[in-house]
Amino acid sequence: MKNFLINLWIFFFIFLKVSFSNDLAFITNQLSNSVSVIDLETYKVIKEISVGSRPAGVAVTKHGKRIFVSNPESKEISVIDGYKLENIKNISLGKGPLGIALTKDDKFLLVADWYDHKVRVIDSSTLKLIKEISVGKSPAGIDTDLKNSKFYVANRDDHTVSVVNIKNFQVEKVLKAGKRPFAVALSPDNNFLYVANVKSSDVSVFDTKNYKKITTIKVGKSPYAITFLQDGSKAFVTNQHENTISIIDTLNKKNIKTLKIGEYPEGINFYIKTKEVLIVNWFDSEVVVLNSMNLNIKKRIEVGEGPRGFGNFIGPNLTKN
Amino acid sequence: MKYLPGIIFLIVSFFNLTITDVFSHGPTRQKLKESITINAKPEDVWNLIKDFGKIDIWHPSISKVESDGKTRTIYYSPRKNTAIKQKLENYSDEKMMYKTSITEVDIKFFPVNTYTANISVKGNEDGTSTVLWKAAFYRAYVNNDPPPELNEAAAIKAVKEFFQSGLNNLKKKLEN
Repeated sequence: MKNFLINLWIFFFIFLKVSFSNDLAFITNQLSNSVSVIDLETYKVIKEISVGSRPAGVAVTKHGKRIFVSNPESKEISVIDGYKLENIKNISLGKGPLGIALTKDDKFLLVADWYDHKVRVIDSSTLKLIKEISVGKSPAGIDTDLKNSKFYVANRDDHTVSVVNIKNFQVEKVLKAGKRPFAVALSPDNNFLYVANVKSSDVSVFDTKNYKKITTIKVGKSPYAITFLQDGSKAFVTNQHENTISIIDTLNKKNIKTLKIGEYPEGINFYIKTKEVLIVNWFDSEVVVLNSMNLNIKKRIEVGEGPRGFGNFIGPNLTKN
Repeated sequence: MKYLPGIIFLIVSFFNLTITDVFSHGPTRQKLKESITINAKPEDVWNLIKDFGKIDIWHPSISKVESDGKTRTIYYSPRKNTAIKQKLENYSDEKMMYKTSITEVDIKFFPVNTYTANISVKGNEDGTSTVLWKAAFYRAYVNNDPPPELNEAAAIKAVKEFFQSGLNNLKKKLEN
């Protein structure tokens, strides 16, 4: 019995260590050409990694081994090693790589090119270019589905979203969004696609089964990025030109709250373990940690200059392994 | 007549250069903050700058303003009196701040794109005031590999000069 209790304690100890700690946030600092790495246990910046020129987009593999960063000005993708937290490689790619995302199996890295209107598919382990897909004008935000069957990309200057089949890399459908769509986000159950339209200051909601536009939700000025709570009940949208975030009740598809957050809020991610929302404020060069339940601001973390954090920037911390 | 294709080319390139789609921009937004401490009460500083339509009473480089209260066209003397059309985005008498955007500008003379700026006055403990003028904007060139006159540095230089000359003169006016 005594042994059993000790084992139980050990088990708990390991369980706690694994589940409640050890994640990092990788914030692209566009004006200081670097990535700030935030330890999400202590909320401290533990490292600033130099990358290419004017980094914007970011994607982290599930197991944290690789972090990919897009640098539209130097036209390259920086590859960061998750163990050493070092930039190990810069890959030249296209004319202006911006929005990036990984398929959920981490097999492919998808890179939207702002200038030549293509999405490039990179094998995430060999780092080789596999395919170039022509999409709409100035493609930006990308999201991928759970079944690794489709990805969605917002074509900012065409006011559309391209739906691309991952099996054959063909564009299956082009959806008409609002004005100047920049970011796309699938609801956690993948039943809905939310599209943030910068110019019309609203969010278009599509049903992913039939691609019908269900509704358009008015948000704050110049929405930039979207994240969902884990259960999908709420969506959080950053409004760049209003210094606020909008909170959307996804059941009723209504904007239920607007919250002052800081200047030029841009990238936004939900952190499952603490149920906090991390918001990147471009002008203030900080990351705000917001409690998603009581909506209190827990912390403001200073990062590099002009952070954007465009993409999924959270991943496991491998530096202690 | 044999020059026609050349003339058409010139006309087309001219329009491409100066009348760009105002909603398109490159992937990197620029940021600029300029501030000045003035030996005057914040109310007095605000009183001088609060009239959106009369920026020429304190900014030395503006030769003329035309305004209907919601928009204004300023004629900026250091750059060939170029007309810069602006819109009042936000105004707070209580917070002593206002925010503007540029709606029309000739990028040959003022090479910025998608520009917004915020000017505010704050009182300090020692009785002085600090005026903070900050802006967010893109370079004028919307494509990659900009020529030097339309790159990031050119955009930053234009806005910086505009802010600095204004703030320096504001200080001079209030302290004399």
